[in-house]
Amino acid sequence: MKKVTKVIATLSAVSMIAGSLAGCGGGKSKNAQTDGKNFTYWATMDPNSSVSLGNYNEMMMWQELEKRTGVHIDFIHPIEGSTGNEAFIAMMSGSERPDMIEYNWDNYTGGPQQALDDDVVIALNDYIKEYAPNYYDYMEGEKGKAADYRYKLMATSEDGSYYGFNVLNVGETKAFAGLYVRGDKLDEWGMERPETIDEWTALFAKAKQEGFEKPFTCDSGVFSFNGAGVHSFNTAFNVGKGFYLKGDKVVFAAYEKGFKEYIAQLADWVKAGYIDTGFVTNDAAKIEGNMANDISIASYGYVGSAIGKIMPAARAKNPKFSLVACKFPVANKGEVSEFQMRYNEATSVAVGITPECGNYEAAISWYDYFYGEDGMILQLFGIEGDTFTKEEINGETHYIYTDKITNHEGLNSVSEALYKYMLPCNHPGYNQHTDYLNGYYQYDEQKEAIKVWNIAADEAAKNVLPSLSYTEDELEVNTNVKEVATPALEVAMFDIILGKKSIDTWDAAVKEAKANGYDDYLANTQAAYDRFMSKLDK
Amino acid sequence: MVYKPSIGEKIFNVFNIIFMAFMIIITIYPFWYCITCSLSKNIVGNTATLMLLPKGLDFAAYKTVLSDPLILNGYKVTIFVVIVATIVNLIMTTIAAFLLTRRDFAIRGFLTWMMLITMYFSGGMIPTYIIYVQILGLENSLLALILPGAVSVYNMIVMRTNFDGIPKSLEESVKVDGGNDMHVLWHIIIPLSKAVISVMVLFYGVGHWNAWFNALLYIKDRNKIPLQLALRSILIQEQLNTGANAVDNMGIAENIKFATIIVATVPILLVYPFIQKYFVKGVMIGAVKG
Amino acid sequence: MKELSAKTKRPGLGARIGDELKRNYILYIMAIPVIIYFVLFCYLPMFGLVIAFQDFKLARGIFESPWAGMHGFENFIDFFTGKLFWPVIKNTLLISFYEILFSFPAPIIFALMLNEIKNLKYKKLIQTATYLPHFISMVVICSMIMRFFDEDGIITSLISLLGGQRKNYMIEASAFRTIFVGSGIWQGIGWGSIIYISALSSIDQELYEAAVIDGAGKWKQVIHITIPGIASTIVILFIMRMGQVLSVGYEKVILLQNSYTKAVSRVLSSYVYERGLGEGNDISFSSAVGIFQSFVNILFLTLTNQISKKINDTSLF
Repeated sequence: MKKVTKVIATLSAVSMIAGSLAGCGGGKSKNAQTDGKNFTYWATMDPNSSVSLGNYNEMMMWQELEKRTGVHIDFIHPIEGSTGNEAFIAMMSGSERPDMIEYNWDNYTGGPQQALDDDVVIALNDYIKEYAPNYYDYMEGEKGKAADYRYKLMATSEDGSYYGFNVLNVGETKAFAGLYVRGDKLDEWGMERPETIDEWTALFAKAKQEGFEKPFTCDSGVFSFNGAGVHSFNTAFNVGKGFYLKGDKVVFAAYEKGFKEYIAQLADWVKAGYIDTGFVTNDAAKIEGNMANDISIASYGYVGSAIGKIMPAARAKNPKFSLVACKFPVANKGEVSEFQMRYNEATSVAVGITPECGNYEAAISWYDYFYGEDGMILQLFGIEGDTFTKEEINGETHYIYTDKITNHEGLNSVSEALYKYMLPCNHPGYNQHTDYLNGYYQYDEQKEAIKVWNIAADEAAKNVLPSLSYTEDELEVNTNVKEVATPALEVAMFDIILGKKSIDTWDAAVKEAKANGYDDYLANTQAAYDRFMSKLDK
Repeated sequence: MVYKPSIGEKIFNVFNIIFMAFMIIITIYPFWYCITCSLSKNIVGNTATLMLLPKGLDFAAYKTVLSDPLILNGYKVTIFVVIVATIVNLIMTTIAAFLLTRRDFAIRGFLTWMMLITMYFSGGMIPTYIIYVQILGLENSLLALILPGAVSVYNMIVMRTNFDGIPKSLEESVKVDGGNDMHVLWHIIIPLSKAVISVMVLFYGVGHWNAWFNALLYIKDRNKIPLQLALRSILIQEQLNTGANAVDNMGIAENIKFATIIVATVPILLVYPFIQKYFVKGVMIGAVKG
Repeated sequence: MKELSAKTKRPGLGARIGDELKRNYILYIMAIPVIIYFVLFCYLPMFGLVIAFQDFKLARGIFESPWAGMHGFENFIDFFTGKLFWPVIKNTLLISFYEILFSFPAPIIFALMLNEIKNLKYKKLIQTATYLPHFISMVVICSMIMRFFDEDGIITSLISLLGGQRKNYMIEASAFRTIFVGSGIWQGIGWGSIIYISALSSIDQELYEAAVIDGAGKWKQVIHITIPGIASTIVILFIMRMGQVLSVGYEKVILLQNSYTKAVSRVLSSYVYERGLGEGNDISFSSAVGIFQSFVNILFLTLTNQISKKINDTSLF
């Protein structure tokens, strides 16, 4: 078996997105004998597209791209209803392989490095400087340098090979989730959005008094030491989640001093009746119910799937209902927490070039178009005058979707309209432009939330671990730890929060977790991080 | 002949009727819940509660589901597959079960083991795919939805057990009249096995109705997509809409999920009463006397 | 079929084989499609079992993937020496045991009780209602279960009404098996009873009439006519159930489990799922586990079959 296996660090497991405009310069891609060349391209069709299209060849974006580059693509799609994995296996086991494959390479057993070693895709290292100047710019050129080469780190395999063209999360928006609270009630009670633990306590007390049975509701991940990136009240105690960085040192949240104080605080709140004690087993529907039916005043969730989902539903009954984002809690009012959710700069969704392709240069230079400015605009906004217009606001150019998209005539939603013409999200290229997000989010509360939750985006870059690769031996240890020690420590933690056990039992529980392998897990993560950093030095 | 029940029996009967009413309530609830959710307006925030009646009446979810051209075509494909595949299943399973009841058949033991082993060992998805596509040529063919699983060994054994219960004397009367095994099967076994055959129709039929995985692997044309796969594509749409992508489909997506379940289930439920009638009375007597 | 008879041909048996073919030629003709089906659709792909002994690589395929280490047995050894091997086997067997003890007889008892309902319309209604949960997807069923058993769930309320404690039963490790098996009965009782209801309908009604004439009460009729009438179905299904003793599905386990219940709920299939990190599953490892599972299952099947053969002369083979 191959020694190194790429796993997704917890943070990037949720990651599909992020981005905003970072001034895409970049020239036209170099046309290397691509004229009249045909390629086959395998991709799972976005379900929003398949509502109106039978094949990507019918999509405006791809048709326009063919006009501009002269390259014709024959798309091969697995049948609708497939999530891609089984279809990928069927494609790989079939007789003919396509020239290009768009896939989430973390789902390939052994990860991107294994896909390279198995000759599923070729390494692009020898080509990109010459044939993919735009992509090269993000990786090793000016834009790459400006971002501390984080794009390159996230988009290459263990040995530093480029396995394809990745989804790049270019923009400022790195967080899509955080704490939120009922804005209409705050106004009614003349309260400010809470920032410190004391303010939160005051809010909970007031809410309880006003008949909110379980002032704060959430699921277990929000409280647990597990789940890097999912921050709630821990930030007030200056402690993160899961494994994170303090300088060059990897630390584990549960080992930190602040974490015990944090648990003690939660236990106090449970005792006071401020927290929904069903959090261990709550699911999204339960949380939505608590929020929409005035059982809870605050919770944790996403811009889209929480705020964007609960608000319209609850407004049917209560037109004033509003959910507003809260800053991550701090110890002293006015401070800004250094912790927040932060998505990685690149995800492992990438277009790989297969050995079957033959004319690598032509294929690479064709796909590079998406990383130039024209390609970015085509992918995110479509064609000027048709699907978007340009507007100058405060001296900055903004791209605004036309009625064709926003009114989504004949279609169910803005998504379906967008994906009829273009692939603005989770498609390899420039992702999550601010103008795209603003066109996409319907409520002002949502547009504001991404600002509030992203206050510390740059600061958080210092403590968030990148997506790491472990060796097979390390991986085995980590898996064993996760199988046994993690649930045990979680049970110990939840028992304290729920008041079944005293806070004094925490130290013993941590000690047991250490003995059960968490020390090794932490050491492995440190080693993996050091390897990662040494790759950067090269 | 009047039968006089004892007191104990009377008490039991009353208890039984009440118990069954309780069973109806608790087992109908999940289905009823899906119906309520699919019809409610703005069900977000309400799915966690014990809903007894829909909140408002909103057919939008059904409109969305049923207006999808894939769904309508999917019904066609699925109905075709269910009918053809179930017929194939019945013929093959009946033959296989019948062969195993022939005690003087020399290769009976061999056949039994040949079938039993396949209950436990299979090549797994990838080798099966390779053989089916490259040797049997099932790629993009509806046969890929019909032929694999033509005999379910489990069902075959159930059937065989039933065949074994038919008195041998009936068989011998056919043989005395000069009939062969074919006659025995056709004139004795099948007429006396209506109940178990109905069960097979139900088991196989529901199985084909609910199947989607083989279609996912083998079918490439949109117009050959069966219903369940088409419905799955709607559900997946909701699944993939996470993070920043998750905004606008939200309101209706929950309803759609439940409407999908209903759309996928109701047609097959409608078939049930037609099959059910074969369970109710003793089929045996009629057949023997007739 | 010629080959087959040629194989078994031994001196002096020629005549007997000829005789057999002559006598049963119709059966041999009928067997042809069945054998062809099993060879093509089941046995041909079975060469894929070698995957368990390989370090299977999708890109290389079955023919070019390297063999696994330790003489091909690496996947098996990995599995057997895993820290969780015994706990997982124990959990699987325990859940299976409770299912055989409670879930297996439940549909039988239900079918017998249903048989005593005289009103045909009521009977049909019960049947239709009880088999509905079979059609509802597992995700929906599991979210209901979690709802019913959480702190203010309807069943929790019922328990506290009866003097039990009000608490979130979903985080009680001791309650997991009860909830898992109980909800399984709820979902499967109607559908599972179909087979018995059909078997009941095949019992000769004249037997009951004769029993009534003899003055037998209902209870006696059940004991002496009804149960013997469906006994062979019960025994055969029981043998087959024993042949699935290690097969507890992972979907429901994964949907219901949490940190509190993980230690008791982790079964063979969910363990393989966990090991494979859910999505990019290790095909060779799960094939190896699959083979192990099949062997244990067949062992139980054969044992039960032999015991049943001895005791009541009903057997699968």
